[in-house]
Amino acid sequence: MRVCAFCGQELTQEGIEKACRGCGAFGGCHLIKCPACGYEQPQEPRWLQRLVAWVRRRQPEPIRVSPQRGITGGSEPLQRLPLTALQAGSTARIVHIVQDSEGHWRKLTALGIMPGAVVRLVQKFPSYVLQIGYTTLALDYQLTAQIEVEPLTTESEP
Amino acid sequence: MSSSLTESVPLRYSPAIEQAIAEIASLLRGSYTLSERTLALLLLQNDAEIWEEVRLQETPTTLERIHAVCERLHQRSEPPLAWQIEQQRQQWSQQIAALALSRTTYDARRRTRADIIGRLCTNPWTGFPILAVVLYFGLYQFVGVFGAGTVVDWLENGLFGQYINPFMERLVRSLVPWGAIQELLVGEYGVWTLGVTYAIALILPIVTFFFLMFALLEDTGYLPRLAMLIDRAFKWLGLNGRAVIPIVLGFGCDTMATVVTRIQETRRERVLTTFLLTLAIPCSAQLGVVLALLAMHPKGLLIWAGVLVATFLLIGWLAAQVLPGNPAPFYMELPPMRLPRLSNVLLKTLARLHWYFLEVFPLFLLASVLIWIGQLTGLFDMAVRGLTPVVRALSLPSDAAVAFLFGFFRRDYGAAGLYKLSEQGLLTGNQLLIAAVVLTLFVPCVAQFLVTIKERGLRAALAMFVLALGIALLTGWMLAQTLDWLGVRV
Repeated sequence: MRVCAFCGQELTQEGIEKACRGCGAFGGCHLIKCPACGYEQPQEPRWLQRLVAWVRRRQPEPIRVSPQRGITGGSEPLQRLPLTALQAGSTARIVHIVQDSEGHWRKLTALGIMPGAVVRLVQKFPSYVLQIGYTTLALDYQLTAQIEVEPLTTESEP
Repeated sequence: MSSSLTESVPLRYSPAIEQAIAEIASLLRGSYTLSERTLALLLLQNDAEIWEEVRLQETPTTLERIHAVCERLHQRSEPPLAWQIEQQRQQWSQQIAALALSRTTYDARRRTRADIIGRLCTNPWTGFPILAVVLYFGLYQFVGVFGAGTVVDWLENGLFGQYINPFMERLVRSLVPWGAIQELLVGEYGVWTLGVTYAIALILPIVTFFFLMFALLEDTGYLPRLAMLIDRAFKWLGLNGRAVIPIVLGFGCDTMATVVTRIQETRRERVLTTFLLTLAIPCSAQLGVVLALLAMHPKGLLIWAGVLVATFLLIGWLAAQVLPGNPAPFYMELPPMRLPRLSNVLLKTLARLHWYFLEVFPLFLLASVLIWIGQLTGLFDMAVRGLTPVVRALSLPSDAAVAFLFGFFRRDYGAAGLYKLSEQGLLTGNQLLIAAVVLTLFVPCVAQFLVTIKERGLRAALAMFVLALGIALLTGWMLAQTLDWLGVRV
């Protein structure tokens, strides 16, 4: 979410476009105009946005559970996500393996990836690396996306 | 595992599955090597091989009844039966493990030194630099410079060139009166002077150092990590990380690497890898000679490597587009990093050398004899004359045609032929570069071609042969034109 550096107004794409229409210039200025106060601030270049996003991702933070997905606890899974959606370093319990027609799921089970197992996602690039007990596995995106998990907080590591 | 342990925790499936097993087991009448229970389980999981065997031994009515039992269970099973069986087995193995193993609680955060090294090898930030260091020191410095340079020089020019070969020549010439036979044994391309000398003084040291390095890498557990790092890039070539093992092995010997493509899962991947091995991966013998050839021309070496990598990527990508199918998914266990055991490394190296030598040595001798026959009958000169226009088109001197003809016998024969030419000062830097590129991409050696026929079939092997030849000549021609046009001198 971007906010105006001057008045703190939340900047939506729609609002910016509206504010810019009032300006006589033809664009190409790389400035964003706040619809509330008219203050013009430079647009963050894409590489900077990426850098910021990357730095934020590096910082360890507890897994956020979005309220829409239902946080109502109990023994019910909090949420069911493909393992690929998790951040590197997080721990999760496997709840389901998607059964594809080509039988790739058999390979996963043979490697010990079964519902109920607790898995740690060690890294995501260039390939996914998982740790289950004493076993470390490397998988590609396609196979990792077949593993559906329920995220665990960092306290409940195996 | 002691049998008492497995008996105390019997493997039992859910009641529905157990009942079906019992029903099928009671129906079976034939004599099998497997127990009836095992057979029933495999039949339930639709094992094609077992069904085939049961079909041969049982009556049609029995088969129908087995079918009915299977059908009934499958219809009632949710999730699928194979899945349930797998899951129950997994649970069973965990029960046994819990009884048999005593362990201190495992803490994933506490790391041993091996863990840390392992992590460094898989982390992209440190993994790729480590890969570069491994390739530079392991492959280039150890195999290329030391093995193919220093040791080969000492053996070929020193031991063989100064002592053994002159002695053999004197011996043969004093014992054998016929000129043709003298030529066969100790002539320019003689069985001893070419075949034995190349095999022992040139190829043997290079492959020894390569196999030693490869065995070391294997035993440390580095190769699966390499596969994992490379997987994404190889997906682009229609392959997956598993292909890294035959490809890296190809830098040692493409013939052996072609056999190793068996570890890949689909025919599509095997064909792709075999083709890339045929075309763009120079074997250690060839690599050694090319490195020695271009050692005086660092710019040329860079261009050579650049052209090779570009061809590898471009042709790999194109081939992946042309062949139907999708890349197979990549999965691999990363074993813990270990300090290799010297005895094991040496044993493996010796075993591979033994295999390699037995396979290659006769071919060297055969090649010498063929060249001798070719020279006696004039076929050789005819072939050289036939190749001359091609060589001219690549702006190379006609003497290089001989080197190309040798290239058909063994990849490094050709390169070694060039080495001779360059020693005599017959080639400019540019010509050396072009010749090195063409010979590297050139057709597979006799051994590799034969193995390719065995593994991939005659049609595929011939297609690869023709394609590699065409691509090699085209690339060489384009490189010659480009260098000329840009006025580059290496």
